[in-house]
Amino acid sequence: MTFSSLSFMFYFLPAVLILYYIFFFSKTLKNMVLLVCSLAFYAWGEPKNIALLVVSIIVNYFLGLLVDHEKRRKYAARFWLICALVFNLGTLFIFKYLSFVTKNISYLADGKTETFDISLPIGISFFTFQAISYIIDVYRNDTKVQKNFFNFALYLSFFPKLIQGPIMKYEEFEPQIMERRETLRKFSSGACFFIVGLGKKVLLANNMAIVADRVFEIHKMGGMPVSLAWLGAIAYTFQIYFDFSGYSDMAIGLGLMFGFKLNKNFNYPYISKSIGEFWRRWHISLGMWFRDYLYIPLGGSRVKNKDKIIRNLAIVWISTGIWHGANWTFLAWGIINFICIATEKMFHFNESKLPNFIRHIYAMFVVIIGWVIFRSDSLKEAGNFIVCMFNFTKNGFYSDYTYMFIKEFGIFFLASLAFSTPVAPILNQFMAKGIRVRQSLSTQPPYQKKYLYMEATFVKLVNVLYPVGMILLFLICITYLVKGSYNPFIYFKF
Amino acid sequence: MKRFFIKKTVTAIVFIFILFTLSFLNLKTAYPTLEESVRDFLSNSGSKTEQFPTLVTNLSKTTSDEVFNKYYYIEAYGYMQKLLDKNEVNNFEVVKANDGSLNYTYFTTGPNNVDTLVERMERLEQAGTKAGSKVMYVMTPDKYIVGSTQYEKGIPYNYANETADNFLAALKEKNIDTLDFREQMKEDGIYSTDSFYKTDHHWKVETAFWAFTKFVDVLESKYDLEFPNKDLYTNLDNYNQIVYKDSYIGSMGRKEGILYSGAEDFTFIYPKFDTNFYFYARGGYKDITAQGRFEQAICFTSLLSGGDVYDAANDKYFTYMDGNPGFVEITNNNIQDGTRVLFIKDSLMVPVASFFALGCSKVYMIDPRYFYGNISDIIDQYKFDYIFTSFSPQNLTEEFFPFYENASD
Repeated sequence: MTFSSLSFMFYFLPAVLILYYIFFFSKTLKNMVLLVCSLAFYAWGEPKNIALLVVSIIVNYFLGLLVDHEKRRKYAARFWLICALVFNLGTLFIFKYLSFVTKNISYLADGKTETFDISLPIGISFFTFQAISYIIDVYRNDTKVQKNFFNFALYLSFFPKLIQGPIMKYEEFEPQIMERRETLRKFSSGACFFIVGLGKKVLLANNMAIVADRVFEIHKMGGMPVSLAWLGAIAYTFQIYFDFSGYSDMAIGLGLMFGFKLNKNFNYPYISKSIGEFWRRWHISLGMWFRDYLYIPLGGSRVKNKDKIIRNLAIVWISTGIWHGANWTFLAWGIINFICIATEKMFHFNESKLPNFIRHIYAMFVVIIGWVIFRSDSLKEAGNFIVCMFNFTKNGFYSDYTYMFIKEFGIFFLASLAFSTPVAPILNQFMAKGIRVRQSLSTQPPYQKKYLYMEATFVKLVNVLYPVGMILLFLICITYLVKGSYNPFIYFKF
Repeated sequence: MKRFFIKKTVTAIVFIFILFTLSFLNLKTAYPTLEESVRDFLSNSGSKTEQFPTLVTNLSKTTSDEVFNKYYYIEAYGYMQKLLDKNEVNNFEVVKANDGSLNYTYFTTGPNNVDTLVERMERLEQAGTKAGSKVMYVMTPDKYIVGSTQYEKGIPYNYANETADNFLAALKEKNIDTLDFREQMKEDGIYSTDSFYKTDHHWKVETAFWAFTKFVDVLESKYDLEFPNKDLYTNLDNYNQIVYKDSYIGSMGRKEGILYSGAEDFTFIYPKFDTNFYFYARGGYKDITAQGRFEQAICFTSLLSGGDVYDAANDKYFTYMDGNPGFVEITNNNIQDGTRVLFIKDSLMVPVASFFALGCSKVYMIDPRYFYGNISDIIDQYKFDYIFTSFSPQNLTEEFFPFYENASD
C-alpha cells in the first residue's frame, strides 16, 4: 500500500486515526494500535513477507538484549554484535543481492551454475539499517536497550517510515514512544506536510515520470537527438526528487499526526554547489547512517594518511551505491559520487573561488549524469544514453518529441523547477513573520541578533487563500488518483 | 506566528472533514463488493495463508475502482487536461488529433513485423480451402486516416496503416484474397475522420452500413455471391434510422470524460422490412439467445435507452450483437439453405456482419479474445461457404491470431 493510493487515504488512514485517538487516554494502547496497524500496512503490500519483518523484529530485539546483557564482557558483547550484523546484512544479502550475484557467477560460468530469483521485500533496506543502528548504539552505550518488545517492534515497523524511511536512529525515536505529545499544532502541520507531499508525488513526480519513462523507452528503440536525451534526463532528475521527497513529506506529515517527529530527509538538494553539498541535502538520513556507522568507525576524515581518507570514502560511496540496488549501474553511480566527493575534498573545492553558478552547473551536471546511470537497466544502456546527450552529429539536436513533451508537460517542468528551490519556505517565512525592517543586537549577553518584522501587504489575503489552495491541491490529487493516472513508485525497490 | 498556525489548523480541519466524509461515502459505495470478497475468502476451503494475497488484491482493486461518484472525478480530470490544453492524456492513454477526435497510439519506430500473422493466415486459408470454404482477409480502416488525421507536432504515430499495408501485401504474395476497406472508402470519398466516432475507435454505424453494401458488391463480383433481395437490403432508405443526439461517448471518451472529449450523436439503423432471426451467443459467463425481428434478435436495444453512459457495459456501439461475445451463431429464418459464413473478427466487423446476416442463412462469429475453443475444429466441422478474417490495423498482433500457430495444426 502506498501513501498515494486510495486504499491508504480513504480506508487505512481514517481507520488508524480513529483507532488511535479513541485510546487517547493510554499511550500504551495507542502504541499498540500503531504497531498492529503498521504490521497490517506491511502485510497489505507484501502479505508473504510480513514473516520476514516479524522475524527481524524478534531476532533484533533479543540480540539487543544479549548485547546489553554482555556489556561488561566485551568479547561476548562483540560476539552478539557480530551475530546481529551477520543476521541483518545476511538477510539483506539474500533478499537483495543473491539473485544478482548468482546471475553474474552463472554468466561467468557460461550458465553452468545455478541462479536464484528472489523477490525483494519492500522496505528491507530501511528496516534492516534501522535494526543495525539500534544494535550498534546499544553496543556503544549510545542508547539504552529497549526491554519492552512492543516498543521495539514499533520502532522498526512504524508505518510512516517503514518502507521508504526516513531512517531513524533509535535514540531519536525512543523518547517519542512514551513521551510524545499530540497537539493540534503538530497535527495541523502534519496534515499540511501530507498534502504537500501528496502533491509532489501525484502532480510533479508522476508527470515527470511519464516524460522520463517515454524518453528512456524511445532511447531503447534506437538513437535520439540531444535535446530529447537531456529532456528525459532532466525529467528523471525531477521525478526521483519529487517522488522520494514527496513520500518523505507524507511520512513526516503522518508521523506528526500521531505526535512523532521524523527526521527531514531532503533540503533542496538541487540548489547544491558541489556533490558533497548535494549529499548533505539528499536522503539526509541515509547519509547520516553511513557517516555514523561506516565512515566514522573507519576513521572518517580525521586519519592523517590521505590514502586512508580516500579508502574510507571509496568504501562509503560504493556501499551507498549498492545499497540502492543490485546492479552494476548502482555501483557505477556510487563510484562517480566517490570520485567527485574525493576530488572535492582533496582540492578543497568548497573553498575555491569559482563563481557560484559554475559550481552549481558542475554539481547539477554530475547529478543529472548520475541519475541517467541510476535509471538505466544496464551500464551499456546508460553509456548509450549519455552518448546521445552529447552526440550532436549523429542524431542532431532537435526533435518533434522534445517540442511535444515541453508543450504537454511544460507547466509541470516549470513547477518542478520552482519547487526544487526553497520558494515555499521563503514564502512561509514571509507570511509567518512579515518583512524584516530592522536588525539589532541585544544589549545583554549573549548579544543575540534581534529582528523587527512588519506584516507584509496581502498577507491576510494569502492567509485566507492558503487553506483554500491546500484543499484544492488535495482534491486535485484525489482526482488524479481516482482517474487512475500514471503512479509509479521508484524508491520501492530500494 | 499564531496566524501562521491558524491557517494550517483550518487546513487540517477541512482536510480531516473531507477525508472522513469521502472515506464514509467510498466505503458505502464499495461495501457490497468488499463484503463479497471477504465472504468468499472465509467460505473458501483451503489454506487461508495462500488465499490471503488474492483477498488483498481483490480488496485493493475494489477500493481503487469503486469510488463514490467516480465519474465526477473523471470529468474533473478531463476538464483539467482541457484547461492545460493537453493533447496527450494520462501517459498517452489517448491522444487528441487536431480535429478534436481521440485516438489510441504508442511510441514506435516503424510498422510491426507481420510474418507470423501471415504464416497463420496462410495455414488458415489452406485449411479453409480444404474444407470447401472461400477465405478472405477483410481489412477495416484504422481511425488514423492517412492524409487527413493530423496530430500536433511530436505526438507519436503508431504506423498501424503501414503495418496493415505490409500485411495485405504479404497476403497477396501468398495468393490469399483480401479486401481493403480503406481503398473502397477512398474511391467513395469517405476516407475521412468523419467516418469514425470522435470519442471511440470504431467507425460509425452509418459507415458500417456503407461497408456492408460495399462488401456485398465485392463478394458478388469476386465470388458470384448470390445475396438475396440485394437491392432491398443494401438500400439505406429501407431502414429506420434513429438518431440519439449528444448521447454517446465511446471507449476513449469514457476514459477522459465528456468535458474533455464531448458527447456525440449515435444513429441506430435497423430494417423497415420484415426479418426473422434466431441469435445465440456464448459469452464469458453465460449463453444468450434471442428470437424475432432484426432489432429484437440481433440488436440489444436496451443499451440505447440511456443508463450510465460512463459504463462500458452500456456502450451503444454494442447494440449490435451485444459487442464481442466469443462465439455467435445467427440463423436467418427467412433464408433456408443459403450462404453459411464465418467471421473471425474484432469489433469493427460486428455491425457489418449484422447487416450481412440479412442475406445469409447462417452467420457465425468468433472473437479470438473471448473464444476458448479451437478455431481449426470449427472450420473443419461447420463447412462454411465463406470464411472472413477481419481485424483492424491496430489489432494486427498475435493475440488476435491464435489459430494455426504451428504447421502441424
